[in-house]
Amino acid sequence: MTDFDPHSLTGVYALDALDGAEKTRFEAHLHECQACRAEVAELTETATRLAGAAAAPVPAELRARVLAAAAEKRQQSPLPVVTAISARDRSRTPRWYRQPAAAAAALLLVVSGGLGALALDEHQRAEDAETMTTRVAAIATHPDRVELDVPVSSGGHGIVVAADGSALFRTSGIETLPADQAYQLWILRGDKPQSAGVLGRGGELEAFVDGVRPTDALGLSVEPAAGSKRPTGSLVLRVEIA
Amino acid sequence: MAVLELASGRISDMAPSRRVRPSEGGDGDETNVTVDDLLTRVACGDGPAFELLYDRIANSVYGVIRRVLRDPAQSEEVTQEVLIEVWRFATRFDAERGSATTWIHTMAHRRAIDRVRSAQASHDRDERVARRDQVTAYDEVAERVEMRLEQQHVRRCLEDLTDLQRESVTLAYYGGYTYREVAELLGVPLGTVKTRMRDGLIRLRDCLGVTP
Repeated sequence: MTDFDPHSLTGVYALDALDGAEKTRFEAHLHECQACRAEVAELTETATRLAGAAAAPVPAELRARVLAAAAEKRQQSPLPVVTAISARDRSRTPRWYRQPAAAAAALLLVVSGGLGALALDEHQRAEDAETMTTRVAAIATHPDRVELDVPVSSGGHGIVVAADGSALFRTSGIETLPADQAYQLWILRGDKPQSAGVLGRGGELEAFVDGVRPTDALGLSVEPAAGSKRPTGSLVLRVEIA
Repeated sequence: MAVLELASGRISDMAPSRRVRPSEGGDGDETNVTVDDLLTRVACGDGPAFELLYDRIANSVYGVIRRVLRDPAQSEEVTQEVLIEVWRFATRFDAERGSATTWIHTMAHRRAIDRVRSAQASHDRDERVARRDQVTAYDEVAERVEMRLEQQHVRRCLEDLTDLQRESVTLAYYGGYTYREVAELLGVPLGTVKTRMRDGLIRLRDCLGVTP
């Protein structure tokens, strides 16, 4: 191929769809191009989400084989140029990596990847988050949980996982609102909607809602940025819990 | 009623994490550990951490390898190789370049691709095109086995792509084809496939909320 344009190949490379001489050339270019490295890193991270989504039960007998084989293998020494993460290095990693409660999210990341971003700087908040983390995990793994995925009328969709009187709500790909507006979540019970919080202007919004009854519905509406006491606009999403 | 709002944020090691059941935590602590933390401990030769790491990632590693290779026996073999490599090369994982989950999945995918490409050197075109038809069949199986939120989320985001973006991305990633092969299969120019793959991933990135 004569018209080798490395900048157009980041996606191809991230999907491991490049081979031969072209791959070699692209990798050589990567060494010199910081912007390409950044884009490749991001797109690779995206591509590996496709791996996570492909999870399938691994044959049970593999575990013992792998563990036994690993026990007999010597680990490689760290390369001098690539530092293994240590306590020191970890202090430079993004903040969410260091948050104990973010990790707690082991389970809750099931439904709630965003938990890692909880602000936990203060001890109290960390404790609150830990309590919540446990509760969120309980919902996410509850054997009788209800999982619902419904479209938002203005684009994107919302996911609800509910169990035991609590619900996790999360949006994906919803339209971003102007600065003076926000999405507000409601518990719809009879003719008295109760606010479950002003969530934000768009993207991946999340909420943990307590005190939900099986007969309730959740609703999402567009409100002024400060929120409203009752939904003023029409609901862009409505989902029955039961 | 107590309502707590959660800020939106990154979701990177969602997939393997979701595989952990509370009962696997033993004393209750280990379920709180991230894949990154585990890999750091593995890098220090921590065997029990490797067991925990195995439980967190084995299904997704096997899943993606199986997607690409299709053959269960071969997939198992490559999965074993990859997981042992994780043990051996954990010392070389660099958290500044991405998450542990990404590192592991990248390794798994590349190993599967290597296997496909070396095996394909001896296969003919017809057989390879036939493999394409199996993508759907395996999808259905996978769908029955695992249909948790991460999958729904990724699937939904894939649905948001244009047909050409989606086909380009999935034929490459799950089908193991090079972009030249994808161009041939789809009957579109090379340049088009390149941009569709990049645009598709960017759209996917935004939909999934992957942050740099």
